[in-house]
Amino acid sequence: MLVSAPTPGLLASEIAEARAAAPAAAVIAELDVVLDARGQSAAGRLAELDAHTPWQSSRARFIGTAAELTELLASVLETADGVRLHPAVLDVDLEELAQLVLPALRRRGVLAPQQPGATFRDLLGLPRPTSRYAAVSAPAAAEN
Amino acid sequence: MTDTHIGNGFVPSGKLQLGIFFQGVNSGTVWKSPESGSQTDFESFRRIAQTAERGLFAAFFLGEGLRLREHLGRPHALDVVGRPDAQTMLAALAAVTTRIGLVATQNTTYNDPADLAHRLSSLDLLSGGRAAWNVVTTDNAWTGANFRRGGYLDHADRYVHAEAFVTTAKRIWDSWEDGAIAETPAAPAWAAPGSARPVHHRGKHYTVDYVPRLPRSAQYRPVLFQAGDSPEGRDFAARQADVIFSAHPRLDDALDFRRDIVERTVRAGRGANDVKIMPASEFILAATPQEALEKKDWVRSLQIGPEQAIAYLEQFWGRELQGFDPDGPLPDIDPVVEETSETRGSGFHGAKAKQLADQWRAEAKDKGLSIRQFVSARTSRGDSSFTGSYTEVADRLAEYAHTGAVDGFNISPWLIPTGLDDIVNHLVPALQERGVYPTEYAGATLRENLGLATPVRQDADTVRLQLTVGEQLL
Repeated sequence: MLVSAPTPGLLASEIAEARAAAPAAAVIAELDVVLDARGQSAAGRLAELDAHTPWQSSRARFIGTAAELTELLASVLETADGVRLHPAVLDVDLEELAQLVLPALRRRGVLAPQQPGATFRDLLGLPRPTSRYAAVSAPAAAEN
Repeated sequence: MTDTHIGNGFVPSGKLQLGIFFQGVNSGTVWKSPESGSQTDFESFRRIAQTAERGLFAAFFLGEGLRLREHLGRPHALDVVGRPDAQTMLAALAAVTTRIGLVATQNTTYNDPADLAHRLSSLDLLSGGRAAWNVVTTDNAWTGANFRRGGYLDHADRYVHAEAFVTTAKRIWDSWEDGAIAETPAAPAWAAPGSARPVHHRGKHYTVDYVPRLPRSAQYRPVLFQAGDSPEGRDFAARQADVIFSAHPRLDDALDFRRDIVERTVRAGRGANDVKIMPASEFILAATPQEALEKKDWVRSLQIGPEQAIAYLEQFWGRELQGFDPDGPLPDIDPVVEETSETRGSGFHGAKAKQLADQWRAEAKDKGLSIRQFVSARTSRGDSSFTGSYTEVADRLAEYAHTGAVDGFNISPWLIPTGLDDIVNHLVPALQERGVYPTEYAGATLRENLGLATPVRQDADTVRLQLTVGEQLL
């Protein structure tokens, strides 16, 4: 289940609500991300981008340093099963995430180590769903 | 009024380029500020290279330190040290940048030409034609003690050897024909027969019998930088280099240096505009002139602390001066008169020590300077420092562009890794407004971005004409 909130600070309560509403579902928090990069502050970068085309979204938005985002994500991931990040500029913010934020989260044990060959379900920690035919086909097989 | 005429057919481009010199040594880099970052973590290099690239810098420049600085026989421990191997670092930076040139300082004395040419070719290929080699000789025996051959080369022969080395490297880079590699699966051979020519060299210090292993890069071959300032060094640059990393940033000096280099370049049979000049420089900038001056005082106080001030004098006095007050007058005891090596940081020898000490004491007394103030003034590279508001400094730099005194500046940030931020965020736009700085990269390769022509192939015949006595070609 994807959840969002007006601000990053309000994500925790939304996550708790979603968890209560659907205990079996994985809860994924949504977050817009603008980071300090290439000698420019996140706020400065966002102002430049907005001057060109305003970035409208209803998601919580994080604007700051890689270290601050690491802290936020570590706290969000205490209750959520994952986050879906929406970088302001793929070429720029994705690199900051890959170089700084993800390695820091892995070092802290917040993110599972990468597992080569793992399925998307494995990454999300979801159980393999039982086939809807499993219950009927098993007895059928026994009859033969 | 400064005479701005250059002569010899030189035409000012009216534009400037910027380079960044990540120093990794010496007192110019402040390590005592809360903002000071690592000198060795890749993250410092990535951040500064990507910031430079956002500011359309032409080049990212790394020096070479083959031996730690020493002070009175011990490693000098007061200033930053770092300097991971330049080619390894630049290869990593090539993967996280797309346009900026990557300049590796490498010496001609302890490397071998075929090996170094191959490594530089590799960097040039993997970066898509962005590699450059800053040629240094580093011939002294003190550095040589780290190497198998030791200090084998006479100081007087350093450029004869360097020139043979560089010429061999160029022939290696030029040995593959254009279009040597098959473009279609239907071609009879992967590489056209005879398209890679062997290079032979018999010299005093090395022998090469080599069929080069790599084709040419997108910029044909690596760009050559050179920094030597002696008459031999200048002539060497005029014959061989594409860019001079000069030590003459003050406008009148820069104009004199340009005239001299143009004259030497034309004499060497090259075009007046063929050699670009980028002096070393430092920028201390702020929104207002007053803030910039205050910032300069703060930067200087961090660059030369009390310990550094005493250590600086100790290099010249040749003895410990720990008992002296850094905020007091210069030492009244005389220097120890002994032969010291320049490479250990001492700038003068023997009997001159007493003379220089007397001169400095008189100067400091005259100006009422303490040890710390005196050393700070001497080491602050006043000439190469641009202090002021963004617009003030942009106006000053525009004059360099209009007169053609330089082609740009190689900037040493005093802070790592945030030291380029205000330059890219404020100075670059101010230069662009004045029409003296690019608004986009001119091309994909360093050669294109520096406005350099495609080099003429160094065939054996052309090389033979340039070789100096002592080296011969087969």
